[in-house]
Amino acid sequence: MSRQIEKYLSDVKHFLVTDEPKEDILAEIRAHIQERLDEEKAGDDEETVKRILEEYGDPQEVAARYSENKHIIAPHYRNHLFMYTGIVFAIHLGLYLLSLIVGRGMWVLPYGDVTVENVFQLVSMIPQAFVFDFGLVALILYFITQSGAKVRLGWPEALLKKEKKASLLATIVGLVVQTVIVAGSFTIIQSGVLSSWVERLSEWEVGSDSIYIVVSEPAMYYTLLIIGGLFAINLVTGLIKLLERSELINVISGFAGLTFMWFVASRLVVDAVFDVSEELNAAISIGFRAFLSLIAVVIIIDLIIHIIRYWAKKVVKENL
Amino acid sequence: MVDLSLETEMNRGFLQLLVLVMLEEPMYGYMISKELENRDFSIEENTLYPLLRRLEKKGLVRSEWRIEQDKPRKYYSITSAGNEVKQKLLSIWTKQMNLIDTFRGGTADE
Repeated sequence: MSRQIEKYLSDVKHFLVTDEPKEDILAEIRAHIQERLDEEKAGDDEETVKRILEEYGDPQEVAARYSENKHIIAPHYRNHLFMYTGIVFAIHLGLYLLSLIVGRGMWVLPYGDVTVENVFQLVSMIPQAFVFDFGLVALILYFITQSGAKVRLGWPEALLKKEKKASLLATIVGLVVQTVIVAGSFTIIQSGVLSSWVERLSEWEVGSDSIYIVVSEPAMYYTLLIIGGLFAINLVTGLIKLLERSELINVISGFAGLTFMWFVASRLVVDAVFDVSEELNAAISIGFRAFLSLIAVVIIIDLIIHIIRYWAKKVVKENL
Repeated sequence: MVDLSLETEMNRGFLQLLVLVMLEEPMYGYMISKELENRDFSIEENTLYPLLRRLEKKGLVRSEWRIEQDKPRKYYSITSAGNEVKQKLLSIWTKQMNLIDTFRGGTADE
């Protein structure tokens, strides 16, 4: 038999995905080709063989006809593949960001215990994290598909609700309040009234008893800075959203908030002296870190949700 | 009683019915495509064999290799289960044809 035919059949075999005996499938194709050659009385004429093989079809296509309905991942899980990858990746990214800002290690797949020490490290970890997440979700969906189980996989309906549009009045009131808070915080910081407040608060007389409250000027300064900064970012986001509503703005706003928190946290390391006794300084420092972490966690959760929504809209084509 | 799965199959597989009808007599693949060609109906060669295999897997046809004129040929013939399915498919097909005719002012009961 012509070498061309054998080459063709071995190509078909290469692409065949079936539980049936491949040799039997190939024998049938071989017999068919031979019948055609005999009918045309072509013998082993290379040109005729070539034409007949071409007419029979591309080996890949021919093989595919035998593997109908044999999917690696069922087509109806396509949206789940992308949606779940987005969710896992957003959470993944959130944990890295948390590690970066809090400066503590956390146990994150696929690395185990990780401490993200700087932004460069974070950026270098993102592609691997994404590939890992995609692979993990694909693997699970692969097993579900192969098991043939009719599983109705969940869908994050709650996360993907349409954003309610606030009334214009509420929006304006919100923006005005935020402006007042931002202006207030920064005015206080700038005006230097903090130190006189600290003095007055330090010794507070209730009746004849004196209550001592430990008040630290830097602690107040940082609290005001955080409040002012975060509200300023929120305010800018709110103003932009008056003109253009998009999930991307929420995502960027989240990142801006985190960058700001990160900046504050790094400043805190540099001048983490709260003016009081060493013992108290340590206590306040720990308390302050916990406070910062809490805010960071809130921003990160919000960011994760917005990344998922953005992803759902752009990649999964959800109508948000 | 409507057998929904059969009807779905019907929509997808006119060719299935065609092959089941043709296999009253045992035939091999090349013979089937030739017979159809003689009736001015062409079927993509490479779809026929996978189709026959699927029918065999469902137990609607059976196959055996024979050597004729020094050539190996895989003959397919319809099974009794295949005959039952064929009858059901034919009645669905007739129903569908009648339905279409009602819209074309044909043989509908008026």
